[in-house]
Amino acid sequence: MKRLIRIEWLKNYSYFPVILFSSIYFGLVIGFTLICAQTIPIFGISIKLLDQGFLDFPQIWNFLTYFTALLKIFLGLIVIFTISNEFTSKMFKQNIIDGLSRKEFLASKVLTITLLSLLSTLVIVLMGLILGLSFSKSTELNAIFKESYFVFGYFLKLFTFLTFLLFITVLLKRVVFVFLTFFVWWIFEVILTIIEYQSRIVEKFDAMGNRINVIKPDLITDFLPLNTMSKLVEEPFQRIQFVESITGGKFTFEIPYLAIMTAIAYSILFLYGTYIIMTKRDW
Amino acid sequence: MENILEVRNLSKRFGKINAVNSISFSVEKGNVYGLLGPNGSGKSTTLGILLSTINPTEGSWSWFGQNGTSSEVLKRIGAIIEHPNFYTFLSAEKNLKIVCEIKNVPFTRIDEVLQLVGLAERKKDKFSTYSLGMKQRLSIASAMLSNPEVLILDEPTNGLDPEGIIQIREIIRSIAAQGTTILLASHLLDEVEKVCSHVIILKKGVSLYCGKVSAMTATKGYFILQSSNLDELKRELELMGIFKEIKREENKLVASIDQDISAEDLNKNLLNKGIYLSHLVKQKESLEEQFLELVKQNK
Repeated sequence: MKRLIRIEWLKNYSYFPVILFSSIYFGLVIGFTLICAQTIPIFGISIKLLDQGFLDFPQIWNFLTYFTALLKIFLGLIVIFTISNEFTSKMFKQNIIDGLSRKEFLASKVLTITLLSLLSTLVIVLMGLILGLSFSKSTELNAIFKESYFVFGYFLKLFTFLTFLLFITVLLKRVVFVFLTFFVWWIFEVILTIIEYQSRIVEKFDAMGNRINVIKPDLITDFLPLNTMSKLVEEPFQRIQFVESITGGKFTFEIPYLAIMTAIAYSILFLYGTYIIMTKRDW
Repeated sequence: MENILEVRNLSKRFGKINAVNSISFSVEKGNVYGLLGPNGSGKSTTLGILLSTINPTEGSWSWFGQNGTSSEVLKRIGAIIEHPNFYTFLSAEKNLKIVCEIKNVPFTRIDEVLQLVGLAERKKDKFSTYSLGMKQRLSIASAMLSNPEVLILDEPTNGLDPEGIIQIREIIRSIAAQGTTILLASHLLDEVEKVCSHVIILKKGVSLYCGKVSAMTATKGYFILQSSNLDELKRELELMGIFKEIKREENKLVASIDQDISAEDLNKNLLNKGIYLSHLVKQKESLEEQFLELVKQNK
């Protein structure tokens, strides 16, 4: 394993896209968490995140992981560019001829993806602890660790996302095709989800014709890869004090076991698919 | 002799095209083999299969007595295919470090192989700044890192200038002199003739011949003779009955040998008959002539 990490390090540490996208990514992640303590305008209303309880334990984990996960495309770019380079410059073929087995090649890429996801998770944990310990109303151990699931959910979300990109990059090889396919797939999932939502939602009305209740069924489209990933870390707006005061509801947190299982299954499927392509294709 | 490589009935089809059609050959330890054939005869495909980058349709092969090509076997082979492949944004040294890690070779080998191909001074420079000749030499350096038992070269002088060609040829000769088995694919007959002791000839995916260059055709060579009276010379030669064919070419006679005779004995015989030669040369057919002969026979 150390040997594979050394190989990956030698290949990547001075590759321009790696340097560029990792500095952008970690710069943005750290920058973003640092401005969290400031007032930011949303839809014309200035909301001071601090006052809304975002930086309180335990929901700070939900908040931080949800927003920083939006930046994961920069980590994705690192994966797309490095993997694409291996194939377009025929280095995959050369590595094989030099005596690296296909399994070792795949393992080295999985190690890179794991390390990137872990590093990003570690940064989030550190930022969360720094912000939380400085601003949270409660700093009891119980509150700090209560929703530590989000740290795992965040890691799994990144890992699944990056294995998805690894798979389509090995499948299509060229960066442009990967981008196109990724965005087409994204739009495809969004459209399917909207269609299913529209056709299966049940609305109840009272005698006056006012909508009193909306029953949202379990959607099949939730099992699509990108939807599964977003289910791992749900949006935190429903628990913001501002919204809670309007709806009058109280948010309860549940671990999304189904999404975790589905995400793990997708990761395995993508990695297996990648291996099959590497073995069956002529290089 | 120990067989390093044995190929049995190897075939590869790309759709309707038979790129390699049931070829068989073997490679003995310590010899320099030329894999000869025109463009599109299946040389690169064959090498691709033997290096595990292309999946064969049929057939089997064994390296060092083990079936197929494992990554452990590949570590004992040095191979250069088509264009030199390296990470363009890395220096020669860093590129070779990656190969060292893959092949489990200590980094100390890097300077040794760079010395061998004369690139030691440029090792810190990015690969993208190298000329084609230098890139090709770096490929050889990379292939030599693990002190391979076999070196596979696919068109190593393709696209090089005369100086580059000579450099590569010198390097190949010095590697061969150390006893490394070499398999050199080329469509340049002249190149194969200069460095190879054995040839494997491919044509349209079929192997026509595998063996020593010298034993390629049954002919024993020919004499070129000249004398003041060619008609009399021709008559005397025919009377000897040891020539297959005697042709007149301008003011010379070309006699293909059927029963072998030394130039000295022939000269003595003719002298006894009172014929004085002004020109006498005994020659073997060049590889090119033999190759064309073989390709013609198998049309």
